[in-house]
Amino acid sequence: MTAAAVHAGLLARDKTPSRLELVSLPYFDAQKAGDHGFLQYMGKGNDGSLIYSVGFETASAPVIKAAKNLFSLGKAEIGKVTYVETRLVINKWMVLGGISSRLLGLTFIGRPLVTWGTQLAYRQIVSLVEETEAKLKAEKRRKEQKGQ
Amino acid sequence: MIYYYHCYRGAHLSSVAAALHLKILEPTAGVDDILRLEYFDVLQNRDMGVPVLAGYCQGNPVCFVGLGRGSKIFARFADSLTAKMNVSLEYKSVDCLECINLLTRIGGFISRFKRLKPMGRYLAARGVHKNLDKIYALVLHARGS
Repeated sequence: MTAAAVHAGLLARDKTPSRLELVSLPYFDAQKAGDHGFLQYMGKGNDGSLIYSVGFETASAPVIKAAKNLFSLGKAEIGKVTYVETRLVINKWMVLGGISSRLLGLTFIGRPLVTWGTQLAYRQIVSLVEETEAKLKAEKRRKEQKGQ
Repeated sequence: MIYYYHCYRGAHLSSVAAALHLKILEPTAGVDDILRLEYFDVLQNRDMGVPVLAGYCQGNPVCFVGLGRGSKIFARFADSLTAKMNVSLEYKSVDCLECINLLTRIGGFISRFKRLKPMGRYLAARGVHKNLDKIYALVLHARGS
C-alpha cells in the first residue's frame, strides 16, 4: 500500500515520511481479512497508468496465476496489468505490527510498530517502485522501437 | 460461462466437485468411485494457480484449481479486477474449502509422502465421501439448478 502511494506520488521519495503522513494515507493499516483481494485505487503514475494496491496475504502467486489463467481461458482482453510483489521489502516490525493491529485488534501496539517498520523499509520501498517504473519505461521503449 | 472450482491444492474437493458437475461422478458414489477419478489426489503444491480443464458442460468449461490460502481472496480479486478493468467475462468461482473436514485434511497431508500415499488417498476419499452431499449442493448452486 505504501509502495502504491509512492508510485502515485502521494509520498515524497527523497525523505522518509513521518508517522502522521503514513497513518493519513488512504487504507493504511485499515484492511481487515475480508478486504484482502479487493483492488484499492491509489492514484495515477507519471505515465498516466492507474495504480492500485491489493492484499493477498501469503497467496499472491497462486491467486495471480489463477486469475491470469481465468482471463486467458475466457479470452478476455484485460489490457496491460503489471503485478509488483512487495513482500520482499517487508520486515519483522511490519509483520508484528500487522498481526497485532489487524488480526488481534491491538491497534495501539500494532499501528506504531507497523509505522516504524514502514519507515525503516522506506528506502527499499522507493527502490522497488523506481525499479518497476524503469522496467515499464524500458518495455514501452522496446515496443515503440518494434513499432517503428 | 467458466466454472472455476477451487480448494487448497486442487487435489480432492475441487476435483470431485468438477467431476460431480460433469456427471462423471454421481452424488451417490462410493469411496472407490472417488478413488477411481482421474484427477483425484493428483495436483501438488507446485501446481497451485494452474487450472485443470476437467471438461465442458453444455459448452461451458469446467475447471478446478488449487489456490493455497487464497481461496477466499481469489473470488474478491477476480471480481474486483473484472469490474475495474471493465472486462466482460462470465465465470463462477466456487470455493470448495467450506466442505473440508478433518479426515480430508489429514488424508491430504499424509498423501504428500510417497510411502504413505495410498493411506492418505484413502483417508482423503473417505473424508470427501462423508461430505459429498455438501459438495453436490455447491455444484447444484453453481449450476443454478
